[in-house]
Amino acid sequence: MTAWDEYQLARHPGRPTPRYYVQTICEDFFELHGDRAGSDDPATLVSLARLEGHPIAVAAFDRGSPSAGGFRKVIRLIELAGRLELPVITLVDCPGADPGFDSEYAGLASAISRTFEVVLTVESPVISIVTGEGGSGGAMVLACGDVVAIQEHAVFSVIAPEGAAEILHRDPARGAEVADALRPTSADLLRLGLADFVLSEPKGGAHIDPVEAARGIASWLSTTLSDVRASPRDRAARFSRRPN
Amino acid sequence: MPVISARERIATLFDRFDEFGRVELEVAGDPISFPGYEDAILLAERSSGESEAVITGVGSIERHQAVVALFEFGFLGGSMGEAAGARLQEAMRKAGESSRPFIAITSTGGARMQEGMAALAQMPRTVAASVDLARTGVPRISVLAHPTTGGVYASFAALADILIAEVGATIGFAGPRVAETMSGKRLPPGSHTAEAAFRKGLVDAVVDSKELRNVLGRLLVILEPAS
Repeated sequence: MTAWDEYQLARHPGRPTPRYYVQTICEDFFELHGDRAGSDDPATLVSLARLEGHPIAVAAFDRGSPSAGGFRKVIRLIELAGRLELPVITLVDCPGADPGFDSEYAGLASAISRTFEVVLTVESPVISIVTGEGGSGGAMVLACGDVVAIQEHAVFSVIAPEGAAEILHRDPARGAEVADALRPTSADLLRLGLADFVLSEPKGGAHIDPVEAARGIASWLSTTLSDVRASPRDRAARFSRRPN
Repeated sequence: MPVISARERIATLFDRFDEFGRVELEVAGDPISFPGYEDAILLAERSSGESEAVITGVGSIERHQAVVALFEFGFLGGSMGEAAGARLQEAMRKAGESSRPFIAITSTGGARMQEGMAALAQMPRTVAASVDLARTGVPRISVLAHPTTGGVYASFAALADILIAEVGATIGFAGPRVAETMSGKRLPPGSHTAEAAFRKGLVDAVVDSKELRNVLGRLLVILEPAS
């Protein structure tokens, strides 16, 4: 499969969303709303939940582009998780932050930088899972956990192939040609040391059998949660070195 | 709007500048073997005269010193990859260690596409360095020069304690062209400028480049610990 093929799977309209996984995997969840500063970003899902008899906090970019208010929702949730000593699970399906005028002037850049800060410094363990398309710095804030996993057919890139094609060829329609060069696949992320695990999907992709895909995530989470509780890590260390 | 080179800045801002040069944490960069990247680096080195897009050192304004990081836009659009991230991390560490304020002067398109996800990793890397620096109690100042967009603005630069934008600079997480393409809407005139950012409360001051030395010098005096 080419990287472009992987993009088609990651963007498949039937691909299970972060919200689906939270609903399916958790015993119960209570969604929080609003940034307490005038907005409730619909692309961002933040929630308290019960998983295997434990309280957890979930922050997800739910198949959309979070605005400044979305990042502030995440900050709220993670600061709360730190205070209540709840493990944080982050889910990423996000082609990038909302670059529109309103989002920009609601302080998007500051909100993103502050989100990095709270994700990197919260006392609770943080487990990150990339489940769909990850793109640029907006998505990266939720892929900085103690442990990072990416689903087999999820992708993550510094810029979407269409954006790279616009820069390289002045033609966004040539995304298929440049996708490989960006090294956006789950295997690439593992090789760069930016993911620790690749979670296998049902044959043909998670959309073929969402229940099975959710089961895969749930069983991995179960082991990983007890691992990170037992041994906290230096979350930022992975970004200062690259495996050879 | 002209772009001011890092060397021109150093000459106009500081009485003395002691450059750090290459740092130990730098790695030989082409992390994703991007087609044409090695040649692009060679070309950038030749045309800009710099070895990377970020230059770090200790700068003095009269008797006050700060650790300074300057972006050279002429080096691949001032983009941040692994080497730039390493230099920024090391400069912030030195600022904390020597209890000197940290000043970043940004002129950049953001993360360096040719380094793929390794470039994006420099966002959390520089944020972590900035957070460590903040804990040492020294002030962090960012000067957002023309243009400042993307993954540099939205990581350590925006996290600074004091944000100064240069008169007329293009400033935005998304560049104005991207914002228009993605949203499908024309931006209002004057959008994505230093002045608009100031009106919306995103920066503390808008300063003309000719006044920058003065303003930074005053800040260093104001923030000097009482003896």
